[in-house]
Amino acid sequence: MASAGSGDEKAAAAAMITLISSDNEKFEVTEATATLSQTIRHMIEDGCTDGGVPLPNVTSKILARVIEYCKKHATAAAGEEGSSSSFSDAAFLEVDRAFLEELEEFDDAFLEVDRATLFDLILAANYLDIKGLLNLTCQKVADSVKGKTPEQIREMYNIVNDLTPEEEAEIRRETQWAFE
Amino acid sequence: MASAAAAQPDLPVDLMEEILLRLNDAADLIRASAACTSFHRLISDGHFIRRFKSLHCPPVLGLVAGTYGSRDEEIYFYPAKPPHNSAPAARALARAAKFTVTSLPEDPTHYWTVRDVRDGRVLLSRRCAWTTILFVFEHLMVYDPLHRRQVQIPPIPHDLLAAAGHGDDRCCQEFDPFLVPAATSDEDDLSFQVMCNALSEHKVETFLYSSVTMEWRRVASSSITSFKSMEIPCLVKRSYACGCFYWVDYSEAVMLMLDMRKMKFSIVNLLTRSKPGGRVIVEVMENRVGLLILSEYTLDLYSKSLPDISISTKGWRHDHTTRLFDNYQWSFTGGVVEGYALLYGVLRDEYRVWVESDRKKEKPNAHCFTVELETLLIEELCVFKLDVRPDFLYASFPPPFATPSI
Repeated sequence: MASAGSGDEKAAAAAMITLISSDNEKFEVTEATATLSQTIRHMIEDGCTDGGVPLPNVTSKILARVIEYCKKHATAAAGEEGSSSSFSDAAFLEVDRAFLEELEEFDDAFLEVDRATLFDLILAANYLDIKGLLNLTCQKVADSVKGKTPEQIREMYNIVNDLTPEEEAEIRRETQWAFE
Repeated sequence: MASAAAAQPDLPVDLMEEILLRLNDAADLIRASAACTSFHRLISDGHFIRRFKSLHCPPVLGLVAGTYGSRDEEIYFYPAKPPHNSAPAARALARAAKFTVTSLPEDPTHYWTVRDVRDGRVLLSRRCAWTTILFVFEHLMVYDPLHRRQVQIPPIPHDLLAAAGHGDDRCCQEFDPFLVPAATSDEDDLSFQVMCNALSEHKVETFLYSSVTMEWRRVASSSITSFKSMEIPCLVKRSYACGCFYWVDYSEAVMLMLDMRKMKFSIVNLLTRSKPGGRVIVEVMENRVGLLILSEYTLDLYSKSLPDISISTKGWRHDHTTRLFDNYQWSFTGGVVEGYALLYGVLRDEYRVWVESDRKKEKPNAHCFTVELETLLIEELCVFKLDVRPDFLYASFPPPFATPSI
């Protein structure tokens, strides 16, 4: 990114928001980072963020991870807004490509967590309405289900089989090709 | 998570839905549905299935042959074979579908020819056995092989053709019918549209049939003097991307384009640096048209935004290159569906042996490959003898997720 963004962005970057986790830990973040969450964006718009934003559904451990994600992606979003949409400038494209690769690497590393953390991140992304994070984490779980048998899926996600043997046999009979 | 007592997954159903929607293979969904009651209930739900289908491209399940000779009523379907990802679903389709059409009264002088395949529908025309090149307009039929339904399309009325300056003599004209892509992913919508180009020496007149009004109407026309190959439609590859149809020829530096919103034809310049035969138009994004160019050992994807396409030859952006296996001799057929294009490869050694035998030995095999447009991932679909050349990719969700199309 050659230029550091417009004056508006600088102004936005200067505004700080305090997020308060369920275990009462306080996190200072820039408004640009916080507003990746639609939930927080609406709170800011409604002017009810003075004294901090309590997030009773998110622990400090998970909130720290969520903020890490938002910081990285807020930078990316600022870069995108500054770019032209015409794709005509080849030099810019190269920069853009390198940046996207870096972002992908970040996302891959970000997802290297245990199952419980991944599910907590999904819950937090959903509560805070952070589309990118929800997509990323849900896709990670979906990818882990690919090619697995029902037994393996149950084992991986701690699911108790409550289908009757007859029901299960019927599913397998009707869609036998998917089990071949 | 030490307590294995949890009878439910740890996420609420709406979030499980978000996860399961991101599986792009129907087989994975079906196996997940056999894991527990809540998954099964979720995945069997009509609302979920509609969302799933609107989020993913239907997979390529096989190929449908364009023309064939003696066996009148059979549509040749070549299912995807292992190790292609779609092989199990293709087997399921082959088992459930019926690739033969019920004919009009038996008539050995006419036979059905596949003219287009799209959205689970096959468009057939009844062709005179004695006209070798001309496709005289007679009967058209739309067929849904999975649900075994067929709908006859009436001929274009004489007065409509006459008003378009085509006179009454149908036998002197070429007719090139094709299916219009479904405008919505609304699966309850059984309506469809068929277009037909009536081609004469200097111009093309386009007619549109709607299954709702059950009528033909004239929608567009263009001079084709600057795109001569259009006079022989079998030499031209038709594709659809970003709301427009394109006709690309092996040799010409221009292509013909029909904007479906404006119903307007235009002649568009193409990148000229390509070997003959190795080009096909594809859709890369909602508003970006892609041009796949095949060279001896590489496949390149260029793209350009739709509004710019008719302005100049410049502005094609090089998006991707992929190296092809060098033991194959490659060619395009022009077969394109949403998200995929089709490539043929013949093993160079087999081909050489065959040519050196003065083409007397057994013909070499043609290996068919799908090209996933997003990644240029190349995957072998099926293999057949070189003389068979299926032109159409058949892409559809497999049986439990496919709903009737007509």
